[in-house]
Amino acid sequence: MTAVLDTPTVVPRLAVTGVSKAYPGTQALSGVDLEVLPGEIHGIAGQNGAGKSTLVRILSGIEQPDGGTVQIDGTPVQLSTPQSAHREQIFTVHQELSLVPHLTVAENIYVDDLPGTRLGSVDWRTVRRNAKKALQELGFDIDVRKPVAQLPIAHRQAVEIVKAVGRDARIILLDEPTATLPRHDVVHLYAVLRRLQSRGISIIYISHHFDEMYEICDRISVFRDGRKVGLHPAEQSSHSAIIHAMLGSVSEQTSARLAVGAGDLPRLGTGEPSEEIALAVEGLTDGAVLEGVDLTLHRGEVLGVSGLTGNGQTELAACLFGARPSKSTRFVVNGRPRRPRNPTDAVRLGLGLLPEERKTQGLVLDMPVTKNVTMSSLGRFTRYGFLSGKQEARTAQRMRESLKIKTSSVRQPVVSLSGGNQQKVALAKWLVSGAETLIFVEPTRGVDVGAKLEIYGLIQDFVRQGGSALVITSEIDEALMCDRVAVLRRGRVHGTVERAELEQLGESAILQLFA
Amino acid sequence: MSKQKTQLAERSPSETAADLAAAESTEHDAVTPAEPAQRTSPVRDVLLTLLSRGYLFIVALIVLAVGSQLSPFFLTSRNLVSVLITASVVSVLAVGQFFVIVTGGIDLSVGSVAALSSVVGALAMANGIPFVLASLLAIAMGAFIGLLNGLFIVFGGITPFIVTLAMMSAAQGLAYIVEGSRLVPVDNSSFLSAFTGKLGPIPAPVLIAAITMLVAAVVMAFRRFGRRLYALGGNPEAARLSGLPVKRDTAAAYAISGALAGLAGLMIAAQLTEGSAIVGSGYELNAIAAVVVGGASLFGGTGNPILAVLGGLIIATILNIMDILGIAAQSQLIVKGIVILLAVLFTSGALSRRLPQWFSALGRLASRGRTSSAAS
Repeated sequence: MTAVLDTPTVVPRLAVTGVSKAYPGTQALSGVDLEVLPGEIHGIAGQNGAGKSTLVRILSGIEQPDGGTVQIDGTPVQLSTPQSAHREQIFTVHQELSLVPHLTVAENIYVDDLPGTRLGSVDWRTVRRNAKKALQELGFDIDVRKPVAQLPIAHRQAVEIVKAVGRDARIILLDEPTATLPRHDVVHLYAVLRRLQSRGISIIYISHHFDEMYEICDRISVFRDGRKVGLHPAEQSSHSAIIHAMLGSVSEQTSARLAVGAGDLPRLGTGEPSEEIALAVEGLTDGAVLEGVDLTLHRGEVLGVSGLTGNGQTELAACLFGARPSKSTRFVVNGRPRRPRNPTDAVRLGLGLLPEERKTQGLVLDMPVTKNVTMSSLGRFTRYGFLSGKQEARTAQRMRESLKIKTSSVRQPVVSLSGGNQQKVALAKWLVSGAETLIFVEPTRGVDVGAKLEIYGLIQDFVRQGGSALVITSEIDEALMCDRVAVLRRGRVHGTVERAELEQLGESAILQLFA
Repeated sequence: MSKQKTQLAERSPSETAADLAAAESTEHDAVTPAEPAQRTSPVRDVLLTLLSRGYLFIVALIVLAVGSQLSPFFLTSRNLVSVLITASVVSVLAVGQFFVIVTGGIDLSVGSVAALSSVVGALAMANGIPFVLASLLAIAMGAFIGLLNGLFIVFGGITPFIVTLAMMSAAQGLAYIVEGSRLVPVDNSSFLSAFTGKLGPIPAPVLIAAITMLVAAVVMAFRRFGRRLYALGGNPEAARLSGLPVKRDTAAAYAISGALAGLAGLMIAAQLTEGSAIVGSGYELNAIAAVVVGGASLFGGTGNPILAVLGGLIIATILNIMDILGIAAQSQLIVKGIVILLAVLFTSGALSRRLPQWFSALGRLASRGRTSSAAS
C-alpha cells in the first residue's frame, strides 16, 4: 500500500479535487477527492446513492460539478460535454452500453472517425481491417461485419472498450461492467483490463461486487452519502474495513455477517407455510418460451425460482401477473381458481409484481414518491369521488418511515432516489394495495449490500404477516434463502429443491438442476 | 431494522392499507419535522404546479403591458372581451387536446370533428330537433369519433398521429357529405343566445370555455381518472403493471377530446350562424400550440389544463395586438411560429430546466425575505 501511495514523484493520471454536485433535494457529491495513478486499476465502492454514478457522469462530461477541479496528468481540464471528455481521452463504458444496434461492429468502432478514400467515399475495407485487428489485440475474435444487436453482451462491451482504446484513451471508466456477464466472460474481461493496464491506461472500475475488486483492482476508494470515506489497498485483509466504511452506521454484527458471506445467509421464509394455496399453475405455456410450468406457492411461503438467465424467468413473472397472454390447465390465485386476464385483474385478485426493470416497468419516475405509493389503490384514497391528497401523503409518509425510504420528502420525484429506495417505493405500492401474494423479479439487482439486507428484511416481514412471495432470482445466494427453490430450465420446472436439501447441500443442490 | 420490523409486524399485509386508512383519520399527523403536515395539502400542490410555470403568467402580463403601450385601444374592456371570445373555441379544443397530450398522444382530428359537429348540429336544428337535443347529438357524435380514434390506437396498435390524421381526413369528408352542396344556416334563437349571448356581464362562449377548463383542472388534480392519465403518460408500462386500466383510460382521453371538439363545433356554428365543413381546419394545430405553449410535454405525463388555456390566451392576445396595429395576416403567422418555438424552448426544450429553476429560486428568496421580516 505504502509503496503506491508514497510516491510523490508520480504525477497522478487523474486528480479530482473537492468536487461537489447537488440535485434538487440531495447533495449527491460533497467535496470529493480522487487520485488515480497511470496504469492503475482503481475501484470505486459504495452503496446506491453514495455518489458513484454522479462521479461517473461528471467524469464523462454528462453533468457539470457545482464546484471543484479535475486534473489530468497535472493539467486542469473542463469536462463540459461528452465530446470534451473524449478530447481529454476519458472514455466511459456505461452499464447500459451505448452502441448503435443496427450498425455493424466495425461501423460502431469508427462511427465518428471514418477514413475516406480519394473519391470521398468511406474506405470500408480499411475500417473492417482495423476493427478486426484492434479486437484481436485484446483477444476477441468477433465478426466485424455483424450488426451489434446480434452480439452477446460480452462482445458488445469489447466493442466499446476497443472504441475507447482506438482513440488513445488515457482513462477508461467501467460502470458495473460485470453486472450482466457470465463468469467466463468476466475472466476474459480481467485479462483485457490487465493488458490495457500494462499499456499505461488508467482504469476506474465501479462495481457492487467486492470479490471482483480484490481480484482486479490496485486500490479501492469507498464512497458513502456523497463523500469519499476511505482509500484502501485492494486486498482481502481490508474487507471488513471497506464494508464498515461503506455502511457507516450499520452494526458490527451485520457487517460481520456480510463478511462471512454465504455461510450465514438470512432466511426469507418463516418455515411454516400453510396448506392454503397462494399461487398455483399447471401446464402454463405462453406459446414461445414457457412449455408447461407447474408451480405451487403456499400461503406464508417463500418460493425461489432459479435458473440460468433466459430459461423463462421473465416470461413466467409476466404470465403469472396476467401481463402476457398464456394458457394453463390450472391457475389458482389466493385460493380462487382464476387466471388473471390482465394486470388490473391480477391486482384485484391480490397479486403484486415487482418487475425486474424498476425504472421502466415499476415506477413513474417523474412522479413523486406519494403518487407512486398510492398508484395501485387510488380507490382507497377517494372520498366522494375526489382524491384526498392529505391521506395519500400520510400513507406515503408512514411507508417512508416503516420501510425506511431515504428521501428528503415524499414529494420528491422517484427518479431522485437510489435503486434500493426505488425498490422500497415499489414494495410500498403493493403493501398499500393490500396484495397478499407478491412476485419479486430480481429484487436486489442493482442494489447495494446495505439496501439488499433491508429488502430481505422487508420480504421476511411481509411473509411473517401472512403474505406469500415468489422470488425469481439469478443469484444463488438469494435462492438459498428461500423455503423451496424451483429451477427453471427451457421453459419448464426442471426440479424443486426442498429446504432440507438446501441446508444440507447448499448451492450444489440448486446448481445440479441447472444443466 | 428491528424497529421497522416491529412496526410492520403489527399489521398483516392484507390489513395494512385498511389499518393505515383507519389510523390516519384518528392519529395526529405522523410526519417528520422536515415536512410539516400543512405543506402537503392538494390545493397547495396545484398552486405549486401553476407557480412552477409562473413565468407564463409573467409572460402574459408582459404581453398585456406591451399591448397597452402600443395602442390605447388594446386595454379597453371591449377589446379584451373580444380576445376572450375569439380564444374561447381554441380554449375548449386545447382542453380536449390536453387530455390526449398528457397520455403522450396527439389528436389531429379535432378541427374536422368540430366542423362536422357544426354541420350536424345545424342540420338537426334545421330539421326541427330542439337545440338542446341537437347539441347533445353533435357532442355525442364527437365523442364517438374520438372513441373510434382511441380504439384504433389502443387495439389497432397504430400511432396516434396516423390514426387521428386519417380521422381528420375522414371526418372532413363526412362533413362535406352531410352538408350537401350548401351551407346550413342556423336561426334557432335559443341556440344562438345559449352560445353567443351573455350571462350577466360574461359572454356565453367565455363562460363555456372557463367552465370546461375548470372542470378539466379538477378532474386532472382530484379525480382518479386524472391521476391515472398522468401516470400512464409518465410511464405506460409501469402504469399497466400497477394494474391501471391503461387501454380504457387512453380511449377515454380521445373520447373526451372528440366530445370537446363537438362542443367547439357548436360554438363555431353559433358565432357564424351556420354549419360548414370548412370552418374547423387549422384549429387542431392552434389547440396543440396552446397546449405546448402552456408547458405540457408532447411525451406526456406533464402539464395542466389551466396552463393550456393560458398558453392559448397568450397566443390570441399577441395576434390581437398585431391586428390592432394593422400588421398583415401573413406576418402574424410568422410571429405565431416564433412564439411557439420560443415557448417550447423554455417549456420542454433545452432551456426548460432553467426557467422553473430561476422562478423557484426567486420564490425562495421572496419567502426567505418574508420569514426574516416576520421574525424581526
